[in-house]
Amino acid sequence: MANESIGLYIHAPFCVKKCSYCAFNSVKKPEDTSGMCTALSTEFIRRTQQDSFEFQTFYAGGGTPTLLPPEFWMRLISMVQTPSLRELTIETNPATLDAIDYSSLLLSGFNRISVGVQSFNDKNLSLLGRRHTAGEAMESLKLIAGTGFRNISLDLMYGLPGQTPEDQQRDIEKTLRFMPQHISAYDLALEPGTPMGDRGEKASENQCADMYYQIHEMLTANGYIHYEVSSYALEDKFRSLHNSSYWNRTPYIGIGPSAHSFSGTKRSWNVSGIIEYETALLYGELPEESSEDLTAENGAHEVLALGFRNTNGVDLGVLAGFGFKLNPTDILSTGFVKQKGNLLIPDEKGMLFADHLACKAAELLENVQGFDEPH
Amino acid sequence: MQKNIRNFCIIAHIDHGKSTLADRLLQATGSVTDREFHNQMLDSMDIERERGITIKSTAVTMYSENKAGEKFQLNLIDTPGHVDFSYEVSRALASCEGALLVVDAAQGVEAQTVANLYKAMEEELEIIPVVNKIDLLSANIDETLYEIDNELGLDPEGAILVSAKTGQGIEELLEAIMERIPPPAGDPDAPLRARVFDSIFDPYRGVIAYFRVVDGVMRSGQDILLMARGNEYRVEEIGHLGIRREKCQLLNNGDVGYVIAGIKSVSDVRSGETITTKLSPAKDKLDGFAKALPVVFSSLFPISSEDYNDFALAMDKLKLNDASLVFEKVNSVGLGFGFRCGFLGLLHLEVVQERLEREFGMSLVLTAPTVLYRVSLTNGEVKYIDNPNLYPDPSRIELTEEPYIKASVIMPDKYIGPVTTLLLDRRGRNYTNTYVGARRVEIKVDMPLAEIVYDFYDKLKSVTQGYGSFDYEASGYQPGNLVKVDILVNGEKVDALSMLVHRDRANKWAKRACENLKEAIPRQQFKIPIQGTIGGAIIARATISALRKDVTAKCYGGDITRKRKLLEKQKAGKKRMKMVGRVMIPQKAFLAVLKRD
Repeated sequence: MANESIGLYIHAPFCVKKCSYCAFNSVKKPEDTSGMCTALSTEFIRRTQQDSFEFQTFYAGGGTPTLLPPEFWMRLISMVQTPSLRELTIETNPATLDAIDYSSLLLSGFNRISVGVQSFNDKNLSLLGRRHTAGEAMESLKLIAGTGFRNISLDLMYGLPGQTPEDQQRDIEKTLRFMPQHISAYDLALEPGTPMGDRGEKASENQCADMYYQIHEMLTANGYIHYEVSSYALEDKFRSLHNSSYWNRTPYIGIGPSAHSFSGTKRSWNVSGIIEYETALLYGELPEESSEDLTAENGAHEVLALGFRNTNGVDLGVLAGFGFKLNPTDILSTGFVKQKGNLLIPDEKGMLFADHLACKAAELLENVQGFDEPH
Repeated sequence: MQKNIRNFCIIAHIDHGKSTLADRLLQATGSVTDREFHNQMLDSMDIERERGITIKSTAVTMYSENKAGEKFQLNLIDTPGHVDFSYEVSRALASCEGALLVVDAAQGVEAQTVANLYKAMEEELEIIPVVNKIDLLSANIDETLYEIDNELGLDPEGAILVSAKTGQGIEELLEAIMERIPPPAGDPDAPLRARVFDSIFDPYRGVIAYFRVVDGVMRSGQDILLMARGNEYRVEEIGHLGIRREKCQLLNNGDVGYVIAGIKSVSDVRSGETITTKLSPAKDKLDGFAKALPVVFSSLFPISSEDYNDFALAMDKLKLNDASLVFEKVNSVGLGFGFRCGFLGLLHLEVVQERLEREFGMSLVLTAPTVLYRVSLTNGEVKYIDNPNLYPDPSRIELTEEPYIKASVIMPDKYIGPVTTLLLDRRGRNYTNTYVGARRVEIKVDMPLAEIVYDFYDKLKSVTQGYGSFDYEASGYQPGNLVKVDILVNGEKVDALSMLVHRDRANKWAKRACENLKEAIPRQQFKIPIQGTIGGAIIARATISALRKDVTAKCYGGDITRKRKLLEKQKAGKKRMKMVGRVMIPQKAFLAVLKRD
């Protein structure tokens, strides 16, 4: 796999407090995080010692990655550092109490920062169980820009229970004051086992669709490129390279509890328990829970499941590589997918129906398995 | 030796332990080794095992010794328990001299048991009452013996107490079978007459017919004549039916066995057929059995129209094995080519559907089952209508009649209220209530057959918490004020959803059908109106709102596997949906029109 483009994801599984909607793997931050830091470094070494990987992206996610010390990140990045590394992102929360030293993040080597603002409405922030206020979010954003980050991504959520399109409009207007290089705008997903998921609290489907189009209108009017269901970039060069690699099936290595890895033909994932994870590495084992080798059909299905979510679309040539033919007539007749050469590219409505399109396309897949036309 | 043969069957209500008792007899007589043994030995179809029911009759020969050391050949003829297949019971009874009447010590005597007992009595069989499940804590042996005496009119002194589960009492039961059941009558020197009671289709050997020799002898290699059908065959193989087939050269009168003779289809050797020899044929054939007539009709369509040829092939193959299945080709505007099929009842329908899907890999849509209506036209012509779409224009109809049944429901008396409500809802009339046991009531009622076609039995079980039993017999045709309700999905009439409904209930029925369809049809990107109409006039409507979005907000590294699996599941699910016009209609929606809750 050497010399091929590849991504690296590090999962920091700690939070000060879990948000009400979040189903990611995270636990309350312990007093001492050194055990986890050692385990993450060890796993990175174990997974990369055999080959020389040309990492293109580095993504520190979680949990709350800033709860691990900046020195840890600095050390890890120095271990990874290759000339190919172009994008190094860290997720942060704008709660001032956390007193993040943004300049130390910059010094560690991060060149992109993703700020979990979610909303500029205090009522909605408390509904989401966030620990910051709208005021604190704005302070943090100013601070981050002042520190010298030139690639800032701002997370917003919509579709909250009781949220009106007017509420959302105000959130977007406040976002636009900062003109971040990247915006991720997520329709709230109700995850079972989370407080909000279990209460089943969410705006109606109609309102959510209206808000999806509203944000599309407002952001594209301000020069943003809507390149994925929930992702907007101010210029092409600000598209998230790391996230895009998930969608175009670039291989990645995931480090940390419950992190997933993808080799190009195999997906594997780590155990999610913190203790299990650390113990496995203490005993010199990989903390892998399970893995799955993908068949050609699995591969084609992934292409469909991912491709209609973003404007890179579905590449018929890639499907052919898996031995599948797709007659796009029925897909194109929906009116929200266009064909450009070998690519089927959804518009904003198409992306909103990505799962529907994927299913329809999956039904239309014809297995040609290296044979010529079957008829 | 004729005098040492015992032919018997087991009569039992469903769940009263017939299969377990048969299993125990097989083990006690050493007919099956412990290594070979599995539960429900006599039920060979997957469906039979999974549902714990018997669909096909079969027979098994066992050998046992009485206390005096005399050897006996015991032929157990196994019969289906479900009401749909009750005609099978008569066939089995006609081949026996005795019957074990099994009663569950905890449940007492059930309606179905009574009905089959009467049939056994008509055949003048020796009845041995068997009280089963005496090991249960809830067993009430005294009450059960009392019911055997009072409700069945059998001598409780002669009842054998057993637990088929633990094996308790099985030796006594074997002794009673040898002691009390008479040997077969019949003349060993007369020309051969053997009565077929069932047949199966084996893909390697062709038809294997099960029969009982009534007079004379059957030999391997001889030429036989099927007296009703008139066809001749050369016997390839005869034998006894053990747990496996046991080939032999000769079957004597009284024997139960099988014959393989190059017969192509089970329809060529129907149950009740008399086998004789070609060289010296018997003068008269034996009494046959009434042919079982279909009572429930439904159209079956392949989900994908391209599969029609495979489907046609599958139907032909299934017919080889199921002589009671009748069908003809139909063409539906929305669903394409398929078959209109007649079934003995709803269980039979389900069994056929399941076998087609399982054994032949078909994905099918079934239309709402209906009964056979009799329509007298103004021009004097009388037509039988098994398909609502062939219902004539009302202006041409003088009279429409629907098939009725006499139903009997037996239940503990505390359920009279809910059962009466259920029967009223199903247009029951002419009630009579009688106490048939200490706290057990039988309700007799006249009902349209159409009312029990769908989910009646499930509803009865649910309102009686499983204690209600149900049996019925056809009681001819009665006038019915019926109208045809059509269903329009997205403005297009879906002929497979049309139903004939009693006029007074048409509005309510159409409203419910529309609501049920609204639930059953997944939302699509456009609004889908569903309308119920009579002769073009809309009497009910429901609207499926448009799907505005179908995507998850996030999909990152850890979500992809889950996402792909979901896609693969949906793809598989769509194989069970039928495209009608622009609308995807799932398989279950075609039956949803009948749901009552």
